[in-house]
Amino acid sequence: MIDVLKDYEVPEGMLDEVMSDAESGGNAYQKFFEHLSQMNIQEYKSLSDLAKLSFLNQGVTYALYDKNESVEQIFPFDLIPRIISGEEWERIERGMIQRNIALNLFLEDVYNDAKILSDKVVPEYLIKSSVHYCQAMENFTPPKGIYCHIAGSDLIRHSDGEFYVLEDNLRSPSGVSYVLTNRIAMRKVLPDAFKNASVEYVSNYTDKLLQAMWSVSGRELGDIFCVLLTPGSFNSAYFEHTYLAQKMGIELVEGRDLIVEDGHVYLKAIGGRIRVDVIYRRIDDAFLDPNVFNPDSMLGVRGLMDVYSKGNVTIINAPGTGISDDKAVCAYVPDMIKYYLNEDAIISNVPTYICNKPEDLQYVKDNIEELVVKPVDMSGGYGVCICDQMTKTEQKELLKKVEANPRNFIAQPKMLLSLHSTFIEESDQFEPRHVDLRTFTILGGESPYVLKGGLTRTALIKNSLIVNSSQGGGSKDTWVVKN
Amino acid sequence: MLARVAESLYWMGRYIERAEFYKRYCIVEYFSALESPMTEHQDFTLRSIMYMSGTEFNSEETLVERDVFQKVLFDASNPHSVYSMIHDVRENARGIRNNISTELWESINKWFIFIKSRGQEAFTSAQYFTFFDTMRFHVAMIKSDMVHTLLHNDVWHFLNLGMYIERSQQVFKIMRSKISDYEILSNNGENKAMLTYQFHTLLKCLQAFDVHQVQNRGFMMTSASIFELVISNKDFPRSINYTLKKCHQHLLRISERPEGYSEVAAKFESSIAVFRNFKEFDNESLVIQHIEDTNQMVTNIHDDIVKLFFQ
Repeated sequence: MIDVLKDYEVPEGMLDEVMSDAESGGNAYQKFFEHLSQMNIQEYKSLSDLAKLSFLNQGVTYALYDKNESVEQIFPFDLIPRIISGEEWERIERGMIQRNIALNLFLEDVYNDAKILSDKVVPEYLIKSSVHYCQAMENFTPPKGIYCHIAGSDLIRHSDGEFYVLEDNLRSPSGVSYVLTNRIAMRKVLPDAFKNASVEYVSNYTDKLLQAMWSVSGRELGDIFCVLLTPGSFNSAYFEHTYLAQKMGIELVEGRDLIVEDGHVYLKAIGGRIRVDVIYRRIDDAFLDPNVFNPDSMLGVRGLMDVYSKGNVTIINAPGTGISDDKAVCAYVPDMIKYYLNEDAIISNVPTYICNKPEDLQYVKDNIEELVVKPVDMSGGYGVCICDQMTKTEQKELLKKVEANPRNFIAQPKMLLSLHSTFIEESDQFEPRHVDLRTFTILGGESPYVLKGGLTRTALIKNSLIVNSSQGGGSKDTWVVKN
Repeated sequence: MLARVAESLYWMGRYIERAEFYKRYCIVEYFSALESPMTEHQDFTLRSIMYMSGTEFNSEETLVERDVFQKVLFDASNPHSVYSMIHDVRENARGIRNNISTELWESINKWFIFIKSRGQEAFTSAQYFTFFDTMRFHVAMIKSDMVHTLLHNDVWHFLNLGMYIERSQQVFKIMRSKISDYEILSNNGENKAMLTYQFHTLLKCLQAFDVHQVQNRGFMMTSASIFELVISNKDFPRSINYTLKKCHQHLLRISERPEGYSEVAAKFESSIAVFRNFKEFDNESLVIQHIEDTNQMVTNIHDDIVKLFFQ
C-alpha cells in the first residue's frame, strides 16, 4: 500500500510543502494520502496512465520537431495535487489584483503622461529601450483603460515559506488550458479524492474571460463579435487557442481570415463580412499588423492598428504591454504599487539586481557565484544561468556578456523554490521536486478575477530549478481548498 | 462561417467516408476471397485492394498480403492509405476544433491514435478481423457524435455535403472496380460462379446484400437488379440516387449563401432530374455509360461547391 512519505528525504535548508504541512500538524494532504493508501503502486501507475490517456484523447499535446517530423507529446502530469489553503490563497489573490491594477495604471501612464518616468520612479531609459515599447500606443488609451486584460504572474515559494513574484507575463500568457484539463483528468481518475475536499472550481475561467472581452467591446450584448487570433495549427500553444475559443464559443481565426475595410475589421465569412469587435490575439505585437510592425508578417492583419487607434476594435492584451514583461522593469513593480496605489506590495518581488545600474552591476560582479543571471526579454527558462552550477571560466564568460550589454540582463539571488512530492517513474517512488505557480488574473468584467488555483509547474529532474515545460518540466493540479 | 472552416468540414466529411469505404472494401475482399471460387485468385484480390485504394504498384510483381495491408492501411508515406485518410480527417478537425463538439473531436482523435498505434505493431492475419471491427466501432462513434452532438446548422450541412459527395464517388469507384474485375475474368474465360461472385462482393462492399435480397424477394439476382438498387433506389442510403438527394438537401439548407448560390443549386437540381430519367438497367453498356456520366456530374458538383464556398 502506498505511503507517499516513506523514505522521503528533503534536502537540508529546503522547504517541502507536503512535509512541512505534515510536520506542522496540518492536515491539508491527509485525506488525499489516506485515499492513496488504499492502493498499491501498480494501481497508482494505472491511474497515472489513465490520466495520460485522457490528455492524449483530448489532444492536449504540444509539438516536438525531430528530423523534420512533428511528434506530438503530452506534458508530464503528476497526480499528487498541490494544495493551497483558502486563507493563503486569499492573500495571493489580493496580491495579484493589486499588482495587475498597478501594472495597468503603469502602462496607461507610460503611453500617455509618463509621470512615473518624469518623477524618476522608474528610469525612462529602461522603458524607452525595451524591445517591447510600442510607439503606436503613445497618447492612446484602450477601452475602459484596460491594457492587460489577462496577466500570468509566476510565483515561487521560498524556503522562508513566503510566496514571491518571479516575473510577469503580460503579452500572451499561456498555460491556462493545462489548469483546466489537469482538473478534468484528475476528476476522471481520482473522483473519490474530491469528495469532502472542498476544492475551489476552475471551470469558470472562460466565462470570466468572455465577460472581460464583452466589457471592453463598446457594443451591446448580443451584437458583440469576438475572435481569437492564432498564428495557426503549427504553433506550440495551438491546443490552448482552440480550447479557449471553443469553451467561449468564439471564432478561432488566422490573420488571413480577417480584413480591414471602411475603418473596421471584418471576418471574411462565406455569406459576407462580419464586423469584429474584440480580438483576443495570441500572436506577438511584431506580427499584428505589417503596416506598423514587422512588414514581412503573414500572421497579422494589414491596417489593424489604424482601426484600433480609432477605437473600432479592441485588442486583448493591448499592444505594448510587453514592456512589463521585461525582467528589469518587473523589479520596479513594488515601486509602481506604492506610486499609483500608495500601498505596499502584498506579494513581494524576488530581489532583483538590474545590471544596467552601476551599483547593481558591481554587486553582480562581486557575488556572481551566488546569483542567477537572466536575460530580460526571454521566457520559457531560456538563457537562465544558475551561476553556482557553472565553472569559474563559464562565470567569467557570462560576466563578459553582461558587461558588454548590461541592459539585457538582471540577476537574482538563487531562490530555493519549494519542493513538492512528485511520483518519479524512473525510481517508482515519490520524491521531492521543485515547483512554481503561474497565476492568471483577468481585468475587465464586473471586477478583477484571479483563477483559483493556477498552474503548478514541476521540475522533474532532481535538484533542477527549471520548471518550464519547454525544458522538461511537468505540471500538477492546484487545489485551493475552502477553509 | 469562414470559407476555411467550411472547406475543412467538407473535407472532414469526405475523408471520414473515404476511410470507411477503403476499410470496408479491404475486409470484404479479403474475407470473401478465403472461400471458393476465389481461393486460387489471391493475387487478383490483392491487386483489386491496391487498385481500389489508388495505391500505385508494379503490375509485374507478385503482391504479398502483409505488404499490401501495410501500404493500404498504415503507410504514412502513401497519401491514399487509410492512415493518411484518418490523419487528414484529424488535421482538418484540429484546424477548426472550436466549430465541432468536444465529443466529436475526441472520437476523431481516438480513431487517429488507434490507427497510429496499430500501425506500429506487427499486423498478422489473426488480427485482421479485430482491427477492422474496431475501425467500424470508431467510425460508428464519429458518425453518432456528428448526429447527436452538433447543431444541425451549416457545420452539419458542410460535413454531410462532403460525406455524401464522397459516398457517391466511392460507390462509382467500387462499381467500376467490380465491373472491371468482371470483364477481366470474363475475358479469361472464368466460370459463372466466379462472375456472380464479383457482383456479390459489390453488394457486400456496400453492405447492400441483405437489402437486395429483401428488395428482390422471389426473384433471381441479376446484374440489372443490382444496378437498379445501387444506382437508383430512393431509400437505400448507399445508392447514388439517395446520396445525390441528400447532397442536394444539405446544399439547400446552407444558410450562408454567397453570390452564385442560386445558380449552383438550380444546376444541381436539373442534373439530378436527368440522372433520374435513366431506366435501362438491363443494358450493361448503357449502365456503364450512365455511371461515367453521373460520376462526371458529381465531379462538376464538387467543383461548383469548391468555387462557390471555398475560394
